[in-house]
Amino acid sequence: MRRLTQINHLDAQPSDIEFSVVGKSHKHESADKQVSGKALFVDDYPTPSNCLHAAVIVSNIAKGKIESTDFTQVESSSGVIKLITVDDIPGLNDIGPIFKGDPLLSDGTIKYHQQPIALVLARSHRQAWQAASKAKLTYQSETPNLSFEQAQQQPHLLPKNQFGASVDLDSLIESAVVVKGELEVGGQEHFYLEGQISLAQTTEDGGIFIRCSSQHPTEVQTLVAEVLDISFNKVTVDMRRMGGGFGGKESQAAQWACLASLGAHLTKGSVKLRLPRKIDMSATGKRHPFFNSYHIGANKHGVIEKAHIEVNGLCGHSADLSGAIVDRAMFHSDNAYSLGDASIVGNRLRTDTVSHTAFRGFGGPQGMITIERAIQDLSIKTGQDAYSLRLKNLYREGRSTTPYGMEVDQCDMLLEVMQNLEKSSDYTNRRAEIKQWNNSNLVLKKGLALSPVKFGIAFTATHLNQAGALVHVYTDGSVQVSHGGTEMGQGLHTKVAQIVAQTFGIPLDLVHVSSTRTDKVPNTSPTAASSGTDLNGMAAHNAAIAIKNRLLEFAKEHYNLDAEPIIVNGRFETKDQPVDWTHLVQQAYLKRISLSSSGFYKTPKIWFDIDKSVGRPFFYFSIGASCSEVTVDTLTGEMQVDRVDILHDVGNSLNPAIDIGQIEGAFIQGMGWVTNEELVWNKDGVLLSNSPMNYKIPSIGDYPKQMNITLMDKANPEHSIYRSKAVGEPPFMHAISLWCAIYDAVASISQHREIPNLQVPATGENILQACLAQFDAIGYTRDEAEVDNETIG
Amino acid sequence: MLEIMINEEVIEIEYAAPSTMLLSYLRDQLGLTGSKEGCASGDCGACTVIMIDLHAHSGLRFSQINACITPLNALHAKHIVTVEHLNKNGALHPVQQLVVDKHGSQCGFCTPGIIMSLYALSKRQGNTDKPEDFLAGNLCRCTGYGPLIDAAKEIAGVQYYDPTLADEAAVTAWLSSCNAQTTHNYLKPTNRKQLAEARRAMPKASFIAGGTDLALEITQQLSDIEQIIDISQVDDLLSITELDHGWRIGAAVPLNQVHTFMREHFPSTDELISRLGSLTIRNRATLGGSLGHASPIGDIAPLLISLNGEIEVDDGETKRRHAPHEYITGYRQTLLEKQQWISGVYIPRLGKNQRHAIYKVSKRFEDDIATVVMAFNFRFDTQSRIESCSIAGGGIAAKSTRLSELEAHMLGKPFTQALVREVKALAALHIHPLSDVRGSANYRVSLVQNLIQRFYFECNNIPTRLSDHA
Repeated sequence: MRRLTQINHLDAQPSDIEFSVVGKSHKHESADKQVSGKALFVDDYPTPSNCLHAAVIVSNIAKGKIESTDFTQVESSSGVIKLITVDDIPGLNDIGPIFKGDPLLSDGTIKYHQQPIALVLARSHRQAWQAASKAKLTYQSETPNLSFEQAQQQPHLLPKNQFGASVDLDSLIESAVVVKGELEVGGQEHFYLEGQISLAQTTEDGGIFIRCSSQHPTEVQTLVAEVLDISFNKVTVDMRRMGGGFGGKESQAAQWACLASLGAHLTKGSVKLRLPRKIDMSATGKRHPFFNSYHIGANKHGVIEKAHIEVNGLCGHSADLSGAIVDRAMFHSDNAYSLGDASIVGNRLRTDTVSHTAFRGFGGPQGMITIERAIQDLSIKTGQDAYSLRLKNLYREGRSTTPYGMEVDQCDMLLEVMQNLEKSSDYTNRRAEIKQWNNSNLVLKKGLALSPVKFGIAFTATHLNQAGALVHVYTDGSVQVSHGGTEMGQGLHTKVAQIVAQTFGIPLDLVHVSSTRTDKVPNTSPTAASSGTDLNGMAAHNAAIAIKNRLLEFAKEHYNLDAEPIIVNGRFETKDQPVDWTHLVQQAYLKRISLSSSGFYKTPKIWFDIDKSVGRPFFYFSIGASCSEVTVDTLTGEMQVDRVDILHDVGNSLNPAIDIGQIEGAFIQGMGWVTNEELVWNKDGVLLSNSPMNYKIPSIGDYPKQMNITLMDKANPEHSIYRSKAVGEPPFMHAISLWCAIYDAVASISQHREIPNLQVPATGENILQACLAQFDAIGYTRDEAEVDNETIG
Repeated sequence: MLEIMINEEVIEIEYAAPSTMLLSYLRDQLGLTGSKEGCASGDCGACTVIMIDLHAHSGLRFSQINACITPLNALHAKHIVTVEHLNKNGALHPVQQLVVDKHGSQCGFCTPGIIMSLYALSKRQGNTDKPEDFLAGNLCRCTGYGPLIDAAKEIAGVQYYDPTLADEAAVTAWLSSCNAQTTHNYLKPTNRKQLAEARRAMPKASFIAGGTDLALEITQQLSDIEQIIDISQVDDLLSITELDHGWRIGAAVPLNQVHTFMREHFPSTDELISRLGSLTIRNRATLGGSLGHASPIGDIAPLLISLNGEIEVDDGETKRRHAPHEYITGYRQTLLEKQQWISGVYIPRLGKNQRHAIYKVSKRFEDDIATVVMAFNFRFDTQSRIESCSIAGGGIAAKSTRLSELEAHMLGKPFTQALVREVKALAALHIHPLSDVRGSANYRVSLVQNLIQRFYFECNNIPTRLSDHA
């Protein structure tokens, strides 16, 4: 560099610079580009010349062996360049992220319907997929195991584990009130709007440069290297943004990245692989379906004294992340309640489907909804309002230890959140009004529920709780940040930019967060477990602090100051006149001060003893409560959401607009999970709900008629980044109050005397069944009611 | 030769294969990658663009359409506006700025489509009672829609300076001066005679009007359809005509126009039609298309059956009318012969002593295929007895059907709860639906029974519908 850029923008409008960068509702860093169609996704980048397009030939059966393959029509199809099978893989064919068992291409054994068998490379996307459909395959087919009952008979994928000493089930009989039941919890399709996609290019060193829509670039890097049998340092993953991830691109973006890389490697060129929506929905894993059981004993006041809960995750054909997902279901089987003597058992069952994977909440929702269902049942058994039962059973002084031995530090906060929401939602009055309303309505019935969420923050695999960042300050004063987290819409880059600007004491527009690249920050963890900001924000903060300390030390000496200067709004005071940031940076550069630093962070305090199943797996808990009101049509099972109130704790909010956006989006996604998003497989293991034509995520008309979201906005007692709390997953589980409200509406048919057999998702069909069962149980047929023998004229 | 104005540029295309969709042309040929492919089936709306054409009375007409399922050849002499055009001068368009200010984008993949639907809303003259309906065809998996509903409410009916249309006069001039389309393998007749000739010239060609169903063969089954006859400009298929006893609706009138007409003359059909696809789909889809495909759960067939409507088919020489339940002969099978096309639909007026209702139950309220559709049309005599009745169902058999056993049982009797009870029991004996991804056979039987009950309740002014209660 020969000259230093003259900068004047800081002097132009100094009064416009915000005093504090963190805590303000700055727009998403890409918002302007997104609304203009200029934000680039992998499919939008210009392709390299002669880029080939890949398609996969997939299995038409769910289980068995390939008997014969005939690819002649594939290879002679228009535009086809190459066909690749398992025999062409130079390195490993197994891309299991933690445990082995995930073949990149079938080695002859078929483990699930639509399993990739071969890769076709053609001149165009359409040609490739047209050709792939022409494969002639014969199979030795076996009957797939799909149901919970079938899966129970098979060896489990992973060993079972248990929290707490086994509770003697017979002793529960002595409890004043016993609640026993089973809950079928359905899975969920991610339905990220941008499907799985990768664009791989070979490099001059025989390596791979890959753009990939992935939450875990490091894992993509290592798996690509292992598949191609090259060293990690030859593979670079660049990830600017995803069009949604929600967990579906944590481990399961890798297969498509590896296939694109394999194609590029074998042709020494470039290959793009983009999954059509139906293939994406059929060939990638989903939220785990669970079959859970609960057996709970309470005293006559409804205080839970003993509990035995069993959660059974249906994992699909391989372990993928199922070990940790079922763990998290177990960790959240208490939700916010002290269960007394509790044993919690987790099983990981093998089924002959796609391998189910991470999805926002990561097993937490499936665990949590089970105990909430049990509380609803308890409410019916005791004749008490479910809200007052919930209050009684919250973790509290003297009853604050979880079944896995971790203390709940913020018991007071749990109670405060519940009581504040009870007031602001006018719960008590509405409860009375609804009772009256239901008595005067023959067909439509309303339901109401107010329930808490307590969600543990940290990866339960302790080693993943680390992050790195790289911060450069350039001589025009601008700052570039790279970190290990990926942007999938959650506003991570916006928050990290705010954190770095706040840390330096400079305006936000000086900070740019670049794409996530494995050559900038290595050995990263997935952007998952809501930890993106906690980990990467702190790592970026640490990097900025390192540079800032050098600058301040220099400034103190250079300007002959008595104390360290305080940089605010991009300037600091000296004895003579204020000095602006860019000037400081330029002076430091001339004096050969390093303006770049990496930063590292590891979450403190956490540990877990796997053998004893005790420890502190979480740094802290995210806390909140929600209150939902619904109306159910007892003739058709249709349902409408009338009002939702959410009070949620994000610690000090780093960006209230983004936090509220996360809460609202998570709730609606959770609403889909508990209502209409139903995965249907037929007996052959074929996913029938395989397109947006037959799998319905919420659309705009499903939005609640009234929605109130409030942030608790109290500092996190733990030393998290600027005392904020994670927000990505926890609010998903506020939708459980919506499910409980449906339960409440259905139970009102029997005046809350009969437990409704409501499952998850509570589809129209399930709701109608539950309503009909209520009518049966009370021996009342509605058509004998009010209107008999009336006629119309 | 095909001429399309895309943003500011008039593009002349010598030949485009009939199966080329607008979206792939925009993205792959023009490098306009703002419009996204989320599903390639018109379900997600990430590809939404604006189609502007010239309407005889109202001038420039803005319709949001799904680029993923609109054949390029269908767009001759139309102006297409994509998201890139809105801020052509660098500054954000007011609609774009609004979405930024509302924090209405997260991952951003659906956002360009959202912007275009909001833009279509902003061009709608006059009041729009439910502005968020313009976004019913845009799925968003991140935001939960709250900020987008706010944005829709704020932009609806507001007058603002639209920098995009600075040169409206030039656009109008171009639209009105385009030559006729001359494309090989894609014929676009404008009258009956030409249509019959086109049919003779290309006997194997597929008919297309809006293409919202046919296009799926191209984008989902990956078929290369070689020849297409586009009937969307045939004058005989495009008008709604009042007759002595009712109306004739042209088979190619887009459903959004049919909706406006039906809302006025058959208000009992309003909810059903507003739930038929999304507004984006209704801008292209037609009555003829729905009936032509004879889906067992098509909402239109039960609607038409219950209104005692008729389907008009034409071969250029003779027009014939069929009752819809006779016209549809089986699963996706009809009486239509190869040289024929559906030209129109006749619907008689409802009498004062007639009560009509049509109910749709689907997993999702908007833009979903019905699990069951039930339609009722009862006429009562002076003694409140059922003088005639029509009970039609979709989703309960291989084709949309009349439940004649039920009808026969009710004729001449007073409409009482006792009768409803008998008919519900009868229904369980006479219908044998399938179980599928949308619901089990048992659920469908229960729905049929309970919708009969609902009709009875509604006739007695007992509230039963979620959409009606506050």
